[in-house]
Amino acid sequence: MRCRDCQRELSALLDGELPAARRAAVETHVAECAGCRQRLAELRQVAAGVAALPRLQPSPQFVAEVRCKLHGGERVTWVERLFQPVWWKVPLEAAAALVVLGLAAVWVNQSREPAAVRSQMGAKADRWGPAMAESPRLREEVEGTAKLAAAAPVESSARAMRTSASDVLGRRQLVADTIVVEGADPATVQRQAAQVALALDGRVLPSARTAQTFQVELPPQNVLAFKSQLVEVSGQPERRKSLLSRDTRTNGPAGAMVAMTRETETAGELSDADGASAILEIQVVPSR
Amino acid sequence: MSVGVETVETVSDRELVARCRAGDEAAFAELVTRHQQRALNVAYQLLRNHEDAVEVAQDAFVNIDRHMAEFRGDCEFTTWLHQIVVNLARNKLRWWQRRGQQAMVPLDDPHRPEWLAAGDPPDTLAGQTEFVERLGQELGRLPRKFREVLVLRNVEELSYEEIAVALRCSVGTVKSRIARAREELRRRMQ
Repeated sequence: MRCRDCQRELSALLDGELPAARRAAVETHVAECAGCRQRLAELRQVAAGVAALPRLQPSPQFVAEVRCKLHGGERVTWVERLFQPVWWKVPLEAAAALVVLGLAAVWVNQSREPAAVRSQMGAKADRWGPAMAESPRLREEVEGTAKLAAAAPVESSARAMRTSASDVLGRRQLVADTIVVEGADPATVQRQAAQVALALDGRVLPSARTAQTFQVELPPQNVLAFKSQLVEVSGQPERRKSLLSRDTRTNGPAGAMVAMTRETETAGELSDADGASAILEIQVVPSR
Repeated sequence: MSVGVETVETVSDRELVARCRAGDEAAFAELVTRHQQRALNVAYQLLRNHEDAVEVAQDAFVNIDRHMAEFRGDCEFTTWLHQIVVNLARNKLRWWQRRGQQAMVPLDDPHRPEWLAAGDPPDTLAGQTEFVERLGQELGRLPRKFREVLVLRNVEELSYEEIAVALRCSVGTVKSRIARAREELRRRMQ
C-alpha cells in the first residue's frame, strides 16, 4: 500500500469505520511506515481535541423556556410568515403585486384589442356580406386589416393605419381616404377645408398631428361632395394616397380600408342613424 | 394518559415519542430534559455563539413538538434531533451572512466563564487546555460542512451512518468529508 492511499484511510481507521480487510492492510502499512504513523498520531490528537472541547450547560429554565415558546403564542401564523418582517416584505410584495397587475393589464389589452378589431371588422364584413362573398380577396383584405391594426406597426404609414383602427373602435368613425394637396400653404388649405366642411355639416378635428396634416370629420354621405368642393376651392386635382406602404398595399389591408370607404360612400349604407361619421385626412406637401 | 416522572425517566426515546403523540406533556418534557445538552452543544459548536445556540436548541424542540406526527421512527430520535439542529444552525448562519456579519465570538468571550463548563479532557490531553482552546478556534474557522461532520463525529460520537442520515448525504461523503476536515484541522494546528 502506498502512503497516499494509507493516509486517505487513516481517519476512518481512527473511527473504526474500515472493513476488516482494508483495516488490516492500513494497519500493516502504518506499522512499517514512520511517516504514516506520525500522521495517524496527529489525527488522533486532533480528534481527541475536538472531543475535549468545552460543553455548554443548559440553564435550569431551558425546559420552561421551550414550553413557553410552545404555548406562549410564538407559533408563526401564515399572515406573519407572509408579511413579517414588515419593513422589507410589505414593500417588496407590493412592488411584486404592481408588476403582476401591470403585466396582466398589458396582457388583457393585447388580447382584447384584436378581438375587438375583429368584431368591428366582422360587423362591417357582415354588412358587406354579399360583396365579400363574391370577392374572397376583399374578405382577406378586411381580415388582414384587423390583424395589422392589432400588431402595432412601426412605420409612419402603418401608424396612420393604427390610428384608423382606434378611431373605428373608439368613436365609431370611418377613416376615408387621405387627400394630398401639393404646393399650397397648409394654413390656407386648412382654412378652406374648414369652410367647405362647415357647409357640409362637418368640421376640422382639433387633433391635427402637424400643420401639414389634419383631419376632417364629415357625415359619410357628404364625403364625395367635400372632396369635389375642396378640389374646386383649392384649384388642385384630388389625389388619393394609400394609407400603407407599397409592399403591404399589394397585399391589400390598406386597400381594404379604401375599398370599405368607397363602398360606404357609394352605397350609403352607413346612415346617420348608425351614429357613424367619416374622417378624411388631408396632407399638404411641397410641390414636386 | 398521564405518566409520572419516575416512569418516563426509564422509558426509551421511542416510547416517549409515542406518548408525546398521545398528548402526554410530561413525556415531551422528559425528551427535552434528556436531550437539551446534546442539542445545545451541537448548536454551540456549529455557531460558536451562546445566545444563538440556546435559541436554535429551543427552536429545535419546538419544531419537534409541532412535527411529532411526521416522525416515522425509521431512525433514532437523536438522529432526528441532530438533523433539525443542524438545519436550524445553517439557517442561523445564513441569517448572519445575509447581514454581512459573523456570528462567531472568540472563546475568550467575557461571558464565557458563566456558561461554559469545561469537559473532562482525556488523559492524553491533560494540561493541554491551550491546545484545545486553539483547536476550538480553528474549528470555528473551518468551512461549515467540515465543522458539521467533526462535531457530529467527535462531540456527539455518531457513526458515519447516523451522520449521513442527519446530514442527508451518503456514507461515502461523510467518510471523505471527515478525513478532509481532520486533515485540514491538523494542518492548521501545526
